[in-house]
Amino acid sequence: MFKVDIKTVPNLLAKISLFATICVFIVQSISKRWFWPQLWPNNFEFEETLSNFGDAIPLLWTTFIVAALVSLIGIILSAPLAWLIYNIGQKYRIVLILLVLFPALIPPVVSGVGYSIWFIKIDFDGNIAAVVAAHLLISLPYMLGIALSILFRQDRELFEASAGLGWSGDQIFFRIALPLMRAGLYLAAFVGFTISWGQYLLTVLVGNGQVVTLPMVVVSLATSADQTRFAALVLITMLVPALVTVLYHKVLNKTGEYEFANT
Amino acid sequence: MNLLTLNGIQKSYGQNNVLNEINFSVEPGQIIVLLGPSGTGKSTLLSIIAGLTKPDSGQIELDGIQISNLAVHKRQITLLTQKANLFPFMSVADNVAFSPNMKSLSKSERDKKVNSILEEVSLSGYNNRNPETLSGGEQQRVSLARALCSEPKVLLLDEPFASLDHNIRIEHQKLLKKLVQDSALPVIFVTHQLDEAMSLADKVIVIDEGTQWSNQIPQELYDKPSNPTSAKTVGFNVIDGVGLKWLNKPNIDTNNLICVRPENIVMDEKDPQIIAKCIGYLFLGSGYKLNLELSDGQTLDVLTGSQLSELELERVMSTKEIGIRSDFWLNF
Repeated sequence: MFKVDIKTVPNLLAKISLFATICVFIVQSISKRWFWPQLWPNNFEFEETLSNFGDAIPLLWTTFIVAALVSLIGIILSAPLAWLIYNIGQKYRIVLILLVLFPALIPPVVSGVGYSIWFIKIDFDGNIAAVVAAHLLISLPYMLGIALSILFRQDRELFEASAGLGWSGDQIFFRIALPLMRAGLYLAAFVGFTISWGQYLLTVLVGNGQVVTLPMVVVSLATSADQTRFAALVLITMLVPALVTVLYHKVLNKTGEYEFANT
Repeated sequence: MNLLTLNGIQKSYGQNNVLNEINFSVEPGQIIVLLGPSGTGKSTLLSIIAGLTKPDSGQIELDGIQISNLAVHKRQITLLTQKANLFPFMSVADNVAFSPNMKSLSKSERDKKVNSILEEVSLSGYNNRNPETLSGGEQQRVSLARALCSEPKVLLLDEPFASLDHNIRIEHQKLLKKLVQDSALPVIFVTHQLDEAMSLADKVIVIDEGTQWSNQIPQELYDKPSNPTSAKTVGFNVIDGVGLKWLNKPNIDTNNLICVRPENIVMDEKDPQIIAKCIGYLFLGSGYKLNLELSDGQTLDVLTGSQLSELELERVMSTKEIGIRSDFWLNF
């Protein structure tokens, strides 16, 4: 008889709902006029779909560049910052951690408006660099948190042994700490990328309409009549993080560092 | 000539006095063993010498130069602990060749040196192995090889063989002794195991509750420790002679602390010095360790040289009064 383990039900339901949602968007992206309460579209239109995908390429490129830069700059900053916090005295450590994690504690609307006002004041709004900087400010706490968590899992004696062998602090960072943090930095890069990829409000506020990313267009189309275009852009928006997830798992598998991801 | 000298090293954490006025020196090729119970400040002292912990006061001199305020990586002092601390993302050879002085060598010179040092620690052919695939003993030898490759002026060992089983521990002790003899490298070795201290040391420093109690050669410390604390550390029974009821006083001042080795006590019904009662025993393989209670409640251990028969053991346990004597009492 067919038996269902109750523990697997939530997981199964999540997978079914995700799959069903994707299916609906796929059908919607190639349909012509699919209105409620029709169960199935009357017509299909592939030419418009191809045109929608084509139109999305510049948006896709901008969104990707921003997310990739946030991810890259994020790990370049979070690795040495984590090393600094790891080596600093206990009382300063807590202050520094709170300072860096602070942006993550503020509601996104508040921080978004704050960054927007600040960037306008210093004449640094309405360009990709400003959007990257704003995304970085909210991604960095999470990226640093991951880098710190993997660093604090390491045995301090490993670094002390390196010092005893004659290596200075910065040499130990490059030769020992960085390789030990590698799996964590992959994860931090992945998290930074996905946080930036999904940003809507912050991009609108700081980009000042000059920088247009996929989520901005998707949100603006959500209530429009052009549901075919909306569905096509949703699919593209979902596709890239999905590919990055696959890439992340492939890299971890290749380097044999899956253990960290599982923990 | 002294290579490393410690003068008046003191360290405390809040009210807890961890080290108090530690003074000793180490000569090239000498193994100094710091012996004492766990948690008495031995590892803290090594940490201070290595530069990982700052002392509250005192000076450390290496080769005539003050190093008390020198950074860890500039001291040329390498510390090995119970954990081998090998880098998991490097092969055995890369671990061994990790120190900065190895990086300045050409690849062929480096390979030659790595191979030679791996041969010395009986790990030839292990070059490409991942450290995580090695046994605990092998990891410790790689760690030792790495330390030797860094050419330190002093090697500090903090119970490096404590996690190894008995036979492998003995092998490692022999290896260490040979390496020290060959290289004239001074070593400070921390242990709480008496046999390890006795077999390795040129000099044994007894540390208990942060205080340095003696600095003696092993045989002298074993036979004639300079104070009751050292005596207790090297296995003597330390008892207060004042309150004891002596049937036949030994030829020493019994109105003070007196010490006797467990193996020097014999059960003697004809001419006993003290009467005791057996309150417990441990079978040690080669004999028994009896725990005797004296008339005033003090206890002492007795090692029986040969195995007691079951009958004899039953008699000892059931007898309320056992006469004991020793011809080797120490007086303080």
